[in-house]
Amino acid sequence: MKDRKDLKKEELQDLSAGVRMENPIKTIFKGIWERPTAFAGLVIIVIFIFSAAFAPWLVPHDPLQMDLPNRHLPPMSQVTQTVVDYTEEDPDKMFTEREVLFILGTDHAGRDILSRIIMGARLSLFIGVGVVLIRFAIGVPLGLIAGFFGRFTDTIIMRIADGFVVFPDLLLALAIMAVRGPGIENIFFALAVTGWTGVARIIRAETLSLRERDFVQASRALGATNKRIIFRHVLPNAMAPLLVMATLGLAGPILGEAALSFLGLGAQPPQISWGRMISQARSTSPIVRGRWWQMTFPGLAIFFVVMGFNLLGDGLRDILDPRMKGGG
Amino acid sequence: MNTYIIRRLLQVIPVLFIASLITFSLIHLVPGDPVAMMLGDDATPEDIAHLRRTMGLDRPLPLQYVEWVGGLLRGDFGRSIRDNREVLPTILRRIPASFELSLVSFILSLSIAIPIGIFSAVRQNTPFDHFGRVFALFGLCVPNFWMGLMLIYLVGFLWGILPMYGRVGPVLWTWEGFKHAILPAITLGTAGATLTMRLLRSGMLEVLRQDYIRTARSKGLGERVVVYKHALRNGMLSVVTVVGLSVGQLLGGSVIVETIFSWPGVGRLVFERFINRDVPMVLGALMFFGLVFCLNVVLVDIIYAFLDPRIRYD
Repeated sequence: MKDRKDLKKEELQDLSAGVRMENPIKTIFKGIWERPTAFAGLVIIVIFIFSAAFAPWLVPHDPLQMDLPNRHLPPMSQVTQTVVDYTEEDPDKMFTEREVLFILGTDHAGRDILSRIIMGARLSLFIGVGVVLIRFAIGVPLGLIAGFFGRFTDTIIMRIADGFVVFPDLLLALAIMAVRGPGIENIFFALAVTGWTGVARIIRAETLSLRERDFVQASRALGATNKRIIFRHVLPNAMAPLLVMATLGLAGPILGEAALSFLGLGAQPPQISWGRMISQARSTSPIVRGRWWQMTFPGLAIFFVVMGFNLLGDGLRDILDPRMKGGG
Repeated sequence: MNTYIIRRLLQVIPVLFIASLITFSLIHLVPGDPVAMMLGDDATPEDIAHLRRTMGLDRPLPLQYVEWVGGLLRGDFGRSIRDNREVLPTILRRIPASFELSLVSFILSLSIAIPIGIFSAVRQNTPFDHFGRVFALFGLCVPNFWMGLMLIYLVGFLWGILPMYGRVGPVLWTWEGFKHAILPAITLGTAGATLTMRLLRSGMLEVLRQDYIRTARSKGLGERVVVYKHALRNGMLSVVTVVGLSVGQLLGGSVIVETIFSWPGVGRLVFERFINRDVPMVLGALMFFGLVFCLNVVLVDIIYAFLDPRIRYD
């Protein structure tokens, strides 16, 4: 490796062109296009977000419509459904019969599983994005402060973070849900309050290394205030790890919500949650009945979405931070 | 070495102190009244006031906190409001079942993760390595409760190979008992196994690039000796940390796995009491798990220092 000062001017320009991205968004998309796994992750996430956004127009059936005669139908069932269809013009006609297809089968109340999965994407996306935003809102400032000011402040903040880490995964969230009761806003609180420490830790490490870099020292020598250094130098340079962390971090709350809802402490009806669908399948259809579709498909939905965020996040890390290549 | 151990143990105290503050404030300071939640919707204000008094919740918070921590230090974790039994003995009674399950899960996951981890590093970018990566990705993304249910359905019901749930007698001594532990142990261990595998792989890749490995190769040592005698010892260091830390994951995962498989361990106890809003039990269980986790971290550090002399003299 040549030293920087030995390089010719053109070489130096090449080097800085590599380090300083001309258009970060273009670089990111080019990088994703070149990596099949990251691209697969992006495709999954696009489908997921699309389903969540346009759920009411995509669902083949009403996800809340119960239809007891058609309950527990296996996938690809084509049946005749009788629906109440009363109109003033034709008082004699009370019901209409129509042919319907349940692609992924129906649950214990005759509701279409495919429609419920599509609709359930909304809650997962909402929880994932919301929890990550709250975690960042707590973790980024605390990590910045700890890393930038160091000493006593650092010790206090990081000891508090340590105090949160001693509780096993999900146990603290479970305890909070138990005491506060089930419900969406409590899921937010429980998952956000237990997950900010990871964000704070990474931002702190990033700040610590940026703080000592030449350009920050130079800026300080020129008389820049702490505020200016943090907002002009530290934060913009920490954007790449933040983006990676946000992408990878979406998987955790989605899994967490599913687990809490599976245990009955999360979403409550009529909220449609993938975790709750699995728990309902388990409680209404004993395993020995062999109604595998009721728990398999919602589980696959969770699995693929979590995988999508992991694949895309890993890809982004590769693209934005070449130092991490090959690891993990 | 002794000073190191003592120093590490002393460092646990502030962490546990902060953990106790967090636990206490999350339960007592969050909006919402735990007492009203415990009694349900049809409780009269008098009932609520009465239970408040019995639980000592009407006294000032700092006083409550000091008394609670004082109790913890004497080994008194309080009494359950559901069956009025002491919290700590109730937890301790459930430990053996959870310990058995964790042990089986540990052995199973390590015996899968370590060979795959080593081979994927040694044969980097071969089909075997790709298989390892897919396995790692699977373990990272699969929701453990769903995986448990699918195992029960496929292995237990459809193929009828293993029992679906429950625990029979002492697991490690009878074949029947061991068979009951296999499915829950797999469910519990998958996340940790894939994590161990990933870290062992990257640890080994790191070590295999070192100069002393090149030296060992260049002086004509066989590949087998280089990998197993020179590289593995240092590569394994990263695993010690992960394996130690995955104990936390085992404790957390046990809540879900034991509930699904009707395994009578601590995890299921905690879950049952949590949904019944047994606040003293919630507090006690959190602190108990926190203590186990901290001691475990210290144990890992000690093992690490034992294996890697550089740490001891820092």
